[in-house]
Amino acid sequence: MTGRLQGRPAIVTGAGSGIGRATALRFVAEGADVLAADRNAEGAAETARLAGNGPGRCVAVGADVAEDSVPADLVARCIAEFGSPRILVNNAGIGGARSVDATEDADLDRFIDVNIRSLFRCAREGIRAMRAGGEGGSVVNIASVFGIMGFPGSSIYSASKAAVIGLTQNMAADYGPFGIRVNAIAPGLIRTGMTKGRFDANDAFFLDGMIGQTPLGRAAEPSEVAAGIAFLCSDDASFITGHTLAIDGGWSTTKYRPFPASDPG
Amino acid sequence: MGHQGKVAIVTGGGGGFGAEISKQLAARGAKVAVVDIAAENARRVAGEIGGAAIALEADIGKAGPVREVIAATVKAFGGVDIIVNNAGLSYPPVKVVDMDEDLYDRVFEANVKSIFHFTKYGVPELDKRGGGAIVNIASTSAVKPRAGNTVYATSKAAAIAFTKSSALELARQKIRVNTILPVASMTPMLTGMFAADDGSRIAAMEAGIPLGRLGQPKDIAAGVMFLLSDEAEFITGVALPVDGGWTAG
Repeated sequence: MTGRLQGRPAIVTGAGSGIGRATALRFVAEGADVLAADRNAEGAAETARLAGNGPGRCVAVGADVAEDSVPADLVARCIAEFGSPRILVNNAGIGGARSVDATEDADLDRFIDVNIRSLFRCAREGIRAMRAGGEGGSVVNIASVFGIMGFPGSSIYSASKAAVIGLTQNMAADYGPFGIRVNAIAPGLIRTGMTKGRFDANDAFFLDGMIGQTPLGRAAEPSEVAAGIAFLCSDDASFITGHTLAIDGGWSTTKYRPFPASDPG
Repeated sequence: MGHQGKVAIVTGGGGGFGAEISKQLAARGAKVAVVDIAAENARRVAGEIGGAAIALEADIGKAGPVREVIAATVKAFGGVDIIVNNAGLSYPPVKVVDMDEDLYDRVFEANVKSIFHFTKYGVPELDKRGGGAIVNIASTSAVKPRAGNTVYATSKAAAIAFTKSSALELARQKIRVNTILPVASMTPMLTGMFAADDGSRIAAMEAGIPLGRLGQPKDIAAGVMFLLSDEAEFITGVALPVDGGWTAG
């Protein structure tokens, strides 16, 4: 498997933990040179330490993508360290939304800022660099199954992730002619910092609604999402663009219920 | 993305997508039953692969031949882990009002009933191995149709629904079921469909695809390899377009 991304400069946001860290490590293992950005500088540094065995390189950056100057800074840093980016994974995002009537303006603005505005701005800078680089590229935006189907109490989070899916489709149409592919991932329930509270609290409503309705019957590890991202960024997916790939054990396919024991199955 | 030691059945393996899927599976260490209604084509592809492949002639729209394919594969290789329902039937553009009912039946038999047969009779073999993976080849025409292709598109929409529903039935048996949606691709099926055309229809299709080209068998085979592999072990019930962005906008 090594070498699929050999020598390709990559930027991964939110790379200090969870899906972003797993993606950075997977990329490095496949030969990519990764700029691992996270607002938690220690987390990013730990990712770079874990990636120490290569074969790709990994440089940690402590930076918050929601700050206006950061997207352009990340691209400039990538160019300085490794060359023009050919891969961009817009993974940074926040969770923990509430129902519409319980959402204050400050929370609303925060979700829009981090999950949409900053992702759009990172994508814009990445696309400009990829077009200038002239070698094409691959952008993967991390959406969510909640951007495909509703789930109680996830209002602005769901809406922000649906926006990510829409943006992905539009960017695919705009930049396909330049050899730049743009896809999204819709993770189901993954064991990350974002969901840790739900597991730790043994949140029965959430866990029944997610694991209980997941045909494969379990939550996934971040590495399983990273495998899908690596596929979409590799030449194995050279004709795939504009797609949102669910990595959800089947959750978004249906309102799943296991067969009762009395039924065939 | 190895498939070392796995046994795969690939329908329509004698050409186009199926030939490339068969070869890539074999290159990753799988044993492959190359199934085709045209025996000569199946033998040619199996011959190119060598000892890791057998050629089987079958009309996969019929239960009897499908059961024979499964039995022959088990006899040759000891079991079945992977089924790729790739064989399909298309036809030159024709409006519904001008189409023969017989062609409708043949399209649904080849494109939908074949998946039913291979699921019904193949799953017990996958169960014996403790699980497995199925990939059904549908088409972007199911979600973004073109005129003159109504019955084909409808059969492929059925294939997507079959994939998602059967994924739910089989998930707890550790059998994953996914589907690929290719856009128009450079295969014998496409050249056969447009044999009477001066090339302008194919050129128009190409112009409408954001990545600016038609699909190639290697594009589709790469997507199939991913969905069949352990890399996709949390992915079931999805419809993955391999279409250069055709369905995105």
